[in-house]
Amino acid sequence: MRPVYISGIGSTAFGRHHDMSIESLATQASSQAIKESGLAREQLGALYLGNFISGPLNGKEVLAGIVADRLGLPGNIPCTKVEGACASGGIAFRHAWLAVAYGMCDAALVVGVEKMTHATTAEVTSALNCAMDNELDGPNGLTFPGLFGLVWRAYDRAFGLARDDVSAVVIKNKRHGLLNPLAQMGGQLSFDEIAASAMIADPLQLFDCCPATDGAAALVLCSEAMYRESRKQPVRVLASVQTSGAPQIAKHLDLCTFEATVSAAQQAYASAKIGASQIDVVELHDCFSMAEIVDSEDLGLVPRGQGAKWAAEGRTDIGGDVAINPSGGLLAKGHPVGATGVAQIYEVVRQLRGEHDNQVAGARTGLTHNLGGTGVACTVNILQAEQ
Amino acid sequence: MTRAALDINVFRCQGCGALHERRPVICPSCLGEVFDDHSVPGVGTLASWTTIRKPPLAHRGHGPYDVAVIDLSVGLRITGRIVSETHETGSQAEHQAGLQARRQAELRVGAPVGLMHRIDSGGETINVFEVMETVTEQ
Repeated sequence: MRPVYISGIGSTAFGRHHDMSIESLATQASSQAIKESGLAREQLGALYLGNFISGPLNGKEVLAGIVADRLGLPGNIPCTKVEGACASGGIAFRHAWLAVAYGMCDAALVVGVEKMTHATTAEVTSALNCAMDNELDGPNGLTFPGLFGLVWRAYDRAFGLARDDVSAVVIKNKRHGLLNPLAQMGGQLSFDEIAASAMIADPLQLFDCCPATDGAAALVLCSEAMYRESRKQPVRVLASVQTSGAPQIAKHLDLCTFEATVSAAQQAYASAKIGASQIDVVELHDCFSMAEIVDSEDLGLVPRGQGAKWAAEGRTDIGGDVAINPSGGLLAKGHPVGATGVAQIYEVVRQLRGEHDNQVAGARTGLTHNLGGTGVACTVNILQAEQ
Repeated sequence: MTRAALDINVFRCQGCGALHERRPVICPSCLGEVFDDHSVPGVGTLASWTTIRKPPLAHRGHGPYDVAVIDLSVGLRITGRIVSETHETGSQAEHQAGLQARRQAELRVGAPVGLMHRIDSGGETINVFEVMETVTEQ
């Protein structure tokens, strides 16, 4: 296995793109990443595209080949669409990393994309529900907000958790979103506004949920020899880990944790030979406020039962012990599901280059965490700026 | 509250005895392929629950409804629905006026629950539990 570097990044704004097709979003982000990498298109040896629900929501598939065509990539390279629910982008990244790390090619393009905002809430909910165990959980009418409603109550029972405890996460991420020009809905929210918002899946309320989003993000990964073409400070992939967990809610015997995250984090820290305390900046999968609390503990960043407390005390804010979701996270930046895992890496690369609009001072090592379905698929990556 | 709980049909692997909520093709514990229909008491405890207010298309006519995780006393965790007596008998106006608070006072993690009825939903059976202070087997 050889070192892999991220030499180019690109992203559309996250939000509504009613005037752009899903292919166009992916093409725009990819083009930025390729140009920034300084590589010629002929030097790209593979394309991996992360997407979850382009079939049900857009009636479009084989997006990897279509986007390669739009980009004018060489016709003889493998172009692969990767699906793993909300972890589709993270899994696409890992496959591009594998391709370069193990020498299949010297440079690879990864792009994540989703287009959702043209559909109704019920259509989006139904499409996302494709990622549920529909032999076991689906028939009861469970939804993904519902999953995190279940997690909230189990967590409350185990550790105690009030409405305002959880709101601390919402307030932090929404505030960060205001500082990210790509974010869909940053905001300055009060505890009262959050508590007064509509119930979605009790105790989960509207502001606890990420929005539906259109958007794409892309990265060029390459070998050490190739990153020298890039004018940007190189960022190295120290570890890229993918794990699986139970698809069925009832197989999660502890609803306060996702085993796939715990396992991926442990493997990633071991592979990178660093500890959780050395991570400066984190982009984790806060599809719901409750998810950030559980994820931050599963990743070993925060002690068990302390996720909300650390957010309330500013310990997961910029300037705290570890900056979590300075991009605004999924809650504020938005969650174009298949793009998210790639977009998280885009955000961390900008932090490690020291060029982020909501910069964590001196950030050298970053982590991304992308979770799919009911914890059925997870990726954790550790990235580091080269000195 | 002494209404009897219904039995629930599960599937027991002949190879290793593992219980499964629905009949699997193979047993993920031992790769066994033969399963016995096995009737067990529909009683257990409430592990968690949530009220779905934004249902997917297939359940649009049902909402709002409560989905629960139930630990059956035979040692099998399943998902189902849960209602309380007040929820079933309350009017819509009552429900909106504050029934929610009463209902949630009754529903609590760890509460004893029993299977009270089943709904057929597009060919799928939904098990509907209720919180009971005294759960008796059928």
